[in-house]
Amino acid sequence: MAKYVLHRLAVSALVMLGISAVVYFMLHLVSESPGRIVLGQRVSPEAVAAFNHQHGFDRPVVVQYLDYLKQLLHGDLGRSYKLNENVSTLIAQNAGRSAMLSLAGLVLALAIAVPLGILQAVRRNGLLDRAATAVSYMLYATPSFLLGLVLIAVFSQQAGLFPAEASQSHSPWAVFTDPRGMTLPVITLAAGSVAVFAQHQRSSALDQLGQDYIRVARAKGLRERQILTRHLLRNACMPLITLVGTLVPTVLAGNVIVESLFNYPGLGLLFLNSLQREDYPLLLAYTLMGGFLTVAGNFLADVMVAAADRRIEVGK
Amino acid sequence: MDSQKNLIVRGLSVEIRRGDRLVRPVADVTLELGRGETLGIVGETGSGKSMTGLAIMGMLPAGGRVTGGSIELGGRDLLAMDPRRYRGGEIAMIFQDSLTSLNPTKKIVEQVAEPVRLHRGESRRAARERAREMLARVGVQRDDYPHQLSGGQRQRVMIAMALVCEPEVVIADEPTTALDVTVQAEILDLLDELRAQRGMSMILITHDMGVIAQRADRVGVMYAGRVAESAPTAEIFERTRHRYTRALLSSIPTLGQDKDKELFSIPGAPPDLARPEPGCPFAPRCDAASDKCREELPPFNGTHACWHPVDGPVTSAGRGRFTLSEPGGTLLRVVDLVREHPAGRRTVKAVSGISFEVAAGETFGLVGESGCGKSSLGRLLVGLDRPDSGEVVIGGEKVTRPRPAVQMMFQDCSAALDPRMRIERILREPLAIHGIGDRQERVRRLLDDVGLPESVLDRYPYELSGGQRQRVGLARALALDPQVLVADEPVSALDVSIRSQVLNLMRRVQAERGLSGVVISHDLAVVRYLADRVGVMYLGKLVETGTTDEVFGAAAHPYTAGLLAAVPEGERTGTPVRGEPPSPVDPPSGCRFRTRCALATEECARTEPPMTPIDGTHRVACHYPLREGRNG
Repeated sequence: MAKYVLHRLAVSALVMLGISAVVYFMLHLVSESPGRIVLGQRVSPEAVAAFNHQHGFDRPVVVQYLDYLKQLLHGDLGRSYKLNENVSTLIAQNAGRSAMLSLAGLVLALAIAVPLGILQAVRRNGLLDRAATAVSYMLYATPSFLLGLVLIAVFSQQAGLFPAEASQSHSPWAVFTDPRGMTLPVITLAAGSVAVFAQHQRSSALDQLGQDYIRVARAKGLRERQILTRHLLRNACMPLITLVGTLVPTVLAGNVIVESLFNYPGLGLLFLNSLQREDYPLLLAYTLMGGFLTVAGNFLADVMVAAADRRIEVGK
Repeated sequence: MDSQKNLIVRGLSVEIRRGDRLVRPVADVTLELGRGETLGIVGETGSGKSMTGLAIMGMLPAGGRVTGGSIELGGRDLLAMDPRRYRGGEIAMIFQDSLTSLNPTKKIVEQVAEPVRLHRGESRRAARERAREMLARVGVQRDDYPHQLSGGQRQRVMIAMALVCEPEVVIADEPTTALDVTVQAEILDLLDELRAQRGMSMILITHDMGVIAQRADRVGVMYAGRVAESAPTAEIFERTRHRYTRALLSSIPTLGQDKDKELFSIPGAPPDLARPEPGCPFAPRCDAASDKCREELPPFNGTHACWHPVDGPVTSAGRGRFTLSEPGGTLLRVVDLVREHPAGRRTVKAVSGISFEVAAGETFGLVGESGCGKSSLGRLLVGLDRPDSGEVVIGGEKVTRPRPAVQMMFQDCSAALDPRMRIERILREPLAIHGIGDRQERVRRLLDDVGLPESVLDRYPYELSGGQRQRVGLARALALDPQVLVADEPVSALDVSIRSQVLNLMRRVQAERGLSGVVISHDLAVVRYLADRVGVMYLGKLVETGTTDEVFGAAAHPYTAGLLAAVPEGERTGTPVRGEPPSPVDPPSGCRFRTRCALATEECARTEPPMTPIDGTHRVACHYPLREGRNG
């Protein structure tokens, strides 16, 4: 098992290196002269050249990239000239809150989707199954900004049950201290994933229900509910683990919309603002983080599946 | 009298509704099971034998219900009880082994302990202790995940799981069908032993008449959801009454029969249970059916349900005879073939140096247990896979990729035929690939050759029966006019009555076309019927070759003799091979069979025995052959 983890880790590191190179060179193509962006259009070309020279932006791009890599290894993500702040500081300020939002959304989605999917499989083609499938597809097809706006209009503006804006505190604990403010963002975030998770869980549970060991469990005299919890649940969740792993970065991207909709100060909002400000060091760091989360999510999913299902050839 | 009877099923009827379709898989079935007795239920797919078992367990599939009759266990009416109260405790069921019959994410002790906790209310620890004892009793002294066990071990775990609560009745549904004959014998011995020890009663559901003959006290023969005949085992074979039973017994290829004669075969296929016809369900396939048979259902009189019963042992064979043609010169030459498949960091040594020749018009049979490499060899023969070394030569040309001259007939045609193609396209495809004209005419002729009506051309594979699909598989293989037909387990997936039809067809087509054949099967009787010469494979090597009469009649290798002894057919003679073959990843040194051989000495571990002629074409690779050559 340890060997398997190490092997996967080494592969993940290589993938990360590739991502960083591609992202760095692509952003370099978009903005060859950071001096122009930082200093503005009215400054003389000489001043821009001087700025670029001072910060080393006139060196060959490969050298710049290697330099950036060296910084990265020391935990230095560069500096945002627009905000005049270290990128790592900015990300650290916002990451905790974003993570809390994503996590709350993910937990809520799973808590609904796993039992729902299994129930749908057990009562397949029944009224509940059809209704749940219909609702799932509707939610899946609804863009989250539309769903968020509808929720705000109904529950915030008309009913006045929840605030339309989340707490502005930078502390991740705000999630717990301000449950009402978090309600609508979390629901908006979870809604889309519930649909995907439940449909996956349903088909995987249907698959497992057809396996012989379920019939054997029945022949032992177990109650249907015992069969579901003791035998079906774990086996039916395997594909979901992989899915959740691959969705980790998507949840981050989903945050962009939800965070801007509810004016929730997190990474998504930071990204959106730096996009408008052409704040390239920040954009670079954010994109790299997306890549990192994708790789990390897949890595975690693989390791978890290998740990839960011993049939995976671990030595391979 | 009833106190002697443990389980009594009277007039049981079951129906299953799926949408608009109403099927009656079990109709008016009456069975009695005495204490300590083994009742065999035999029948083909769809005969209702498994459904009867499931009805007793109260485990009918969705949409199914018991519509009539009664099931009593020790005087209690089971149909009035909640099945969970007796299921797994008083009546247990053993299913056919499959890779998924155990929960893949739980260790086996946990799984065996589950019924103990459930029915005996014992603590987790006590239940695990009991489970360990029971597992030791069936010969599995370990606690691993199911995928780490072999098929035979998994089936032992299934038995432990069923018997751990000491049920009064155990229902074993095809408990050994997925296993090799060698393992089958062991599992059946184990079941018999445990049954006798605990005074349990057993219902043994199987399609295998040989298993029934050896293991059951009484037999019920089922056809189309009804009991056709029921009698003590000896009487079924010696005083067969029902015409279906007689036809069934006649159509089974045996090791002792005259292979020049066509196998007896029952025409047609079993009836569709969704559309019941009046009269005897077997009447459309019965050669003695009268108007009465077609109009009036024969009642079950305690022993049989037939208007025109027979009386006497089975003697009938098919009418046709095969004229054996003299084989011509060598057509297919296999030279020192080696193929190893990488599996992680290790390699599976599937085929380790195999050589043989097949003459024009001759059929060569390959037998061996699962995992011996016979299917890997088959793929090499038709060019679906390339050898690591050695070569396959046909008519002087080396086979390196699939070619028209060698074609393959696959085991499971429902998987080998594209489900989204109509039969016509399936049969035209090989012709189109090789740019052969007049396809329409050729496809017609092919259908005619394999005995299928033209109406199947518009159908999809799933609309055909198993036998029809296998005929399509044969037609597809014949489409390119091959010189050699390689058939990998051609009839293993078929029911007995259909099996003999397909076997006869293969013999006839081969004789008509002068085809050479290579038949791969674990079923010795099938190989004996189809093949002129045979090679016995063990862990990637041939251990004995010769004519079928030489090898099956006077086996020289201890492995061949052990395989033959394991076949459940009539009286048991000799000692069957025990255990399961070692892993082909790391085969034993010297003679690969030595780890399971009673005659093995140190010499066998040191040097590998070469193939040595014994007599005529009979050759064996053994240091201590059971038969010496004429010249010493």
